[in-house]
Amino acid sequence: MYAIKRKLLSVLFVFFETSLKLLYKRDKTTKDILSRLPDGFVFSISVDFSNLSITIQKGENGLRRLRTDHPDLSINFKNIHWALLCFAGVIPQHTAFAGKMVRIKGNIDSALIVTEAIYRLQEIIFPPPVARKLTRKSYKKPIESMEQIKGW
Amino acid sequence: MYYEFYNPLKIISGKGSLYNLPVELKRLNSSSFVVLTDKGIVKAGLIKKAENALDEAGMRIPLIIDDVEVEAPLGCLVDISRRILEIRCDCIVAIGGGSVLDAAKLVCVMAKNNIVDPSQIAGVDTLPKERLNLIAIPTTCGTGAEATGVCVAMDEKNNTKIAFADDVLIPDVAILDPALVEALPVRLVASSAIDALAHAIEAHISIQSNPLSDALSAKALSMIWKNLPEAINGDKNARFCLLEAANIAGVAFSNAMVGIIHSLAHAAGSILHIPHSEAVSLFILPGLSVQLEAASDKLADLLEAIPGIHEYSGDNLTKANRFLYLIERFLEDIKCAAGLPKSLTDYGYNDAYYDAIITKALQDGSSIFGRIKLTPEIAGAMIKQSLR
Repeated sequence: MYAIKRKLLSVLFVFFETSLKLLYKRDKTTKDILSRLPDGFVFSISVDFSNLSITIQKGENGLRRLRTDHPDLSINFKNIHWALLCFAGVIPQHTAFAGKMVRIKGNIDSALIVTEAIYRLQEIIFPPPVARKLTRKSYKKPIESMEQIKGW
Repeated sequence: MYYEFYNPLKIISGKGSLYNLPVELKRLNSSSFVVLTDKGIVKAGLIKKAENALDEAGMRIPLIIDDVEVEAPLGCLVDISRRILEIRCDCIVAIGGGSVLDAAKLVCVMAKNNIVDPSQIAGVDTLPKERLNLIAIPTTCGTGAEATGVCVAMDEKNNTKIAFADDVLIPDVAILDPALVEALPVRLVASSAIDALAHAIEAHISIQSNPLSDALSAKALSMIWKNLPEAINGDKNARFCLLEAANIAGVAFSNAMVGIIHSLAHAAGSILHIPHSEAVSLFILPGLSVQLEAASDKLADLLEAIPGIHEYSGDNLTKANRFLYLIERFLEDIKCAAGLPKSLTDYGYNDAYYDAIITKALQDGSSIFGRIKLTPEIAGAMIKQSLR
């Protein structure tokens, strides 16, 4: 089972990396999100007990793969099970972050930016019902509900 | 549901518990220790109480470092760590409020691992796993910092707060002695207890809340509600109950974390230099209002935790509304009684700060634990409500 999970995840990693690079060039929203990271910023996503990782550098002309042991931000899944569920769109990124399924080394605000970019990617590659399930519940009228409370 | 819950802290609580300091130092095999505190604590005579406790065991405090600044800047932490390294102690006894305890948590990791740039180890679950022993003795009844695996330091160069979250930051021992909070100024009692109230509520509605943290957060809320008014009037026992409630809320939020109320409080606090607990007090109601629908089930739960409330009819949204109404009235009464400012404008806010606060709040790590996604519109609405 582990071998199948690992194989599947390695394919998803390649797909994720390629799609993110492409989106950075073609999708304005993705570019806007990632442009909040400084040029030269390096982030990596890895999985414990699997030897799987991707490291990406944000440059002036796009994203590129990089080999380094010292990224500015490292997102490390604690096991292959969580990583697979996350990349396959079964559990949302924020649940993985909040549920301590990952370790984050680096500034948390940078991690939030990368998470946002992954959400954007999932929004495009997954069918709408799946993507909707992954994004955080957006309640219709939070601000109006605030006004309602004001009046009691 | 998946969750992790971790609480390795030994809690010693009650009248005279400070006298257990020597035996705890012995239990931790600490041959040499330093007391880390701030000048206000020394001036208030609280270190003397620790000295008395050690005196009875024939021990003395080898070194007192009282240079911890409010919401300790990184430079201050590096300096303290260097001094601790020089004297080669193996335990820190931290006596103080949230800033002192947060500083001690980080310094005991930095000193043990000779870290000279703490910003390089910021993050979640990534700190080195060895540290000096740490005994935390809180002197305010609100932060719960003695129970948590998180701490915040001020990056003075970038005027921003850096967060650290790791189980290694949870102290070995927390000593909750009522003698240390008896003489607290009323304003500090009120603001720190409101901070603890926010910890309890946010832990309860967090997306990472779990049955264990829920039980703790509901209990903490109940204790704060019951004791805060009397604590403001100077009741010593009520103040001690708040100290315990803050500790319980601390254990809850160390595991379930806090959400968008703290995101806005961190942002406004660092830009306008508002004390953390007072910043939190401004955003409780706005933060709950915007999450009313999303968190109605958990807010309805909390209605039942309020002492003396027996109105449980209606659906979750009705109960959540009722809870918010009671919170609004409770906070108003407490702020009036303690002379706490009620609006962000009282801290020098004007429209020029609006965008900066929103930008910072959206980048804050706590936002990930809220029930709704924190958008610029929602953050803006929260700021506007905090101006009333």
